[in-house]
Amino acid sequence: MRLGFCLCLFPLVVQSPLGAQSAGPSDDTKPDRGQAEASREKLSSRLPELPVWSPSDYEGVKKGEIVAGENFFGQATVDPEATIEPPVLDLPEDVEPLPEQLDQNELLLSSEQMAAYFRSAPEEPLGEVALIKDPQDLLSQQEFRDCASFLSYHSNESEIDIALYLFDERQELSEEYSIDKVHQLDGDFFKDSGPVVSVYFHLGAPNRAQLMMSPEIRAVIPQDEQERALRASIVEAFEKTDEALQLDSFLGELSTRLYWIERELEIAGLQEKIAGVQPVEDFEVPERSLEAGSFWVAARAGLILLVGLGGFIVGVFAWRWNLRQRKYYFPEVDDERVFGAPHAAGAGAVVTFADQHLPPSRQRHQEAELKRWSDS
Amino acid sequence: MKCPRCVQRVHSRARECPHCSFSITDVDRVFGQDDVRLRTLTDAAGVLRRKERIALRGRLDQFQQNFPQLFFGIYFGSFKETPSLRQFGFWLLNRGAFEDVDVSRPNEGGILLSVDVGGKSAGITSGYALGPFLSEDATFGALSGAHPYFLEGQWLRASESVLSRITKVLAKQSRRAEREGNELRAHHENAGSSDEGLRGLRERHKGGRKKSEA
Repeated sequence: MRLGFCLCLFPLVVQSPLGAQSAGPSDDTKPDRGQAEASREKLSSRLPELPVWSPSDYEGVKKGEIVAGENFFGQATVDPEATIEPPVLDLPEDVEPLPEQLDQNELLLSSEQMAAYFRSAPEEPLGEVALIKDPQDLLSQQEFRDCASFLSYHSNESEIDIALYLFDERQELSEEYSIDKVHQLDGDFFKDSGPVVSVYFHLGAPNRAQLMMSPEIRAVIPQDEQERALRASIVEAFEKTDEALQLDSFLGELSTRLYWIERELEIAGLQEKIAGVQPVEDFEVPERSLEAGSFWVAARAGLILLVGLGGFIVGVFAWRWNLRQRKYYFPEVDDERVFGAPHAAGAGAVVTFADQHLPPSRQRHQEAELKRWSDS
Repeated sequence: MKCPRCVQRVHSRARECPHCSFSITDVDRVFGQDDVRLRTLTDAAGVLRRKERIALRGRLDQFQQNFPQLFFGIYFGSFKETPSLRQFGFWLLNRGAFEDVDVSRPNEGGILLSVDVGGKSAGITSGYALGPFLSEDATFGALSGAHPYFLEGQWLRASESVLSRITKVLAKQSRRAEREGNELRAHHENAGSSDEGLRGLRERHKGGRKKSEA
């Protein structure tokens, strides 16, 4: 029974490294033999050779000279010449293969591949100019539609369109397809839609993005400002880790920067218009007509001033005349005879003006005047 | 209403002052009980020049134009004895017959500015009709405004200042009374209630004017 149990566990033990080491070369017929052998071969290629019983060992065991397990249970003897071999690890299999070291020539896009970007007039089914070009299908369909939708929205809102060319992270472009040359070529497609900004964007490597603006923009916007817009867009793209999201962030920031560039273009255009207007001072006015005109202007101004002044004076006089002519009435008061006086008893204030240093309130008579009448 | 002698408040129908028994007979004994004939501008002290008198009369006439019920009188005098200007004004407005004032303007509507040039004091007295509209404080304000001119002896300027301030006060009071809906013109249209007495008063003075101490 014990032997049967060991036979059942044998295949499991054989698959493990321990089993492989302890099992030795004695192979029996087991299921999955092909797989077991393959793994055994793989392990044996990395592990040292297992010990093998020799006939003399067998004879020694029979005679009792060699006791099985003596090395395990007896006193260990140290071989001074023995060397410790470095442990061999059974590394797991690589889940993902290392990136292949592609040849530079393989990374360089061929003329045929680049021609796919410029093969035909980039028109959409509705006849509109395609603003995103991804012939390698680097973006999924949904991502492509989202990106195209954003570029279309930007095109409707802004005078400056964005023409986006998508490449893979490590792809290289030949010199003849540098962005400045392509922009010149592609500018013909966009000549009817006004100024355009061409963008080379490498998915997964926003720092490799390139940007080229139309000549009319470059004529107004300095180069360092263009570079600032590109750097800001790259920084914004690095905020995200996903490639598609990086592209979204890049385009969003670029759209914002283009808004301010557009404002500068408008101001520059307005100034240009103003500069185109001939100053009034440049007009030559005949000296005689100037003198006559200034005389009449002065005469008219003087007349208006005179009339205004006269009106003001007349108004003041009318107001004063009206004030003088105005009549004030008082209601009738019942006669109340006081002190037997027939007409008046309203004793008002009496003020002396004998002292120049005292105010009227200090010189007001409020006390009784009895002295005179007592004398009389 | 205050007593001209003791300056105490009395009832509006008191025959005499309950404090000092003052009545018009007291001042009549001093200044005379007969009516005196005078003009609205009387310069008994002789302090005004002719031009000043003309100018001041013009102002007084203007006042009468603006206030058809009222008149303004100015009296410049010089009292040798201790002045009692308040009582003198009281007496003069009751016994005075102003020649240059129409009989339709009774003394009840009169305002008298009395100036004692020698005693260096000035006072204002008003008739019964102005009792509710011209307070003692208003008269004091008018005299205070003219105080600098009184100090410098600029009698014309002082009189004009008093007249101007009184005019403003009365105009304001008239507008207020008009707003309150009183019958302002009732007295003007029905004038004559006291004309008889005033006409008689002034007509008597036309015949013979008794000299008074004023």
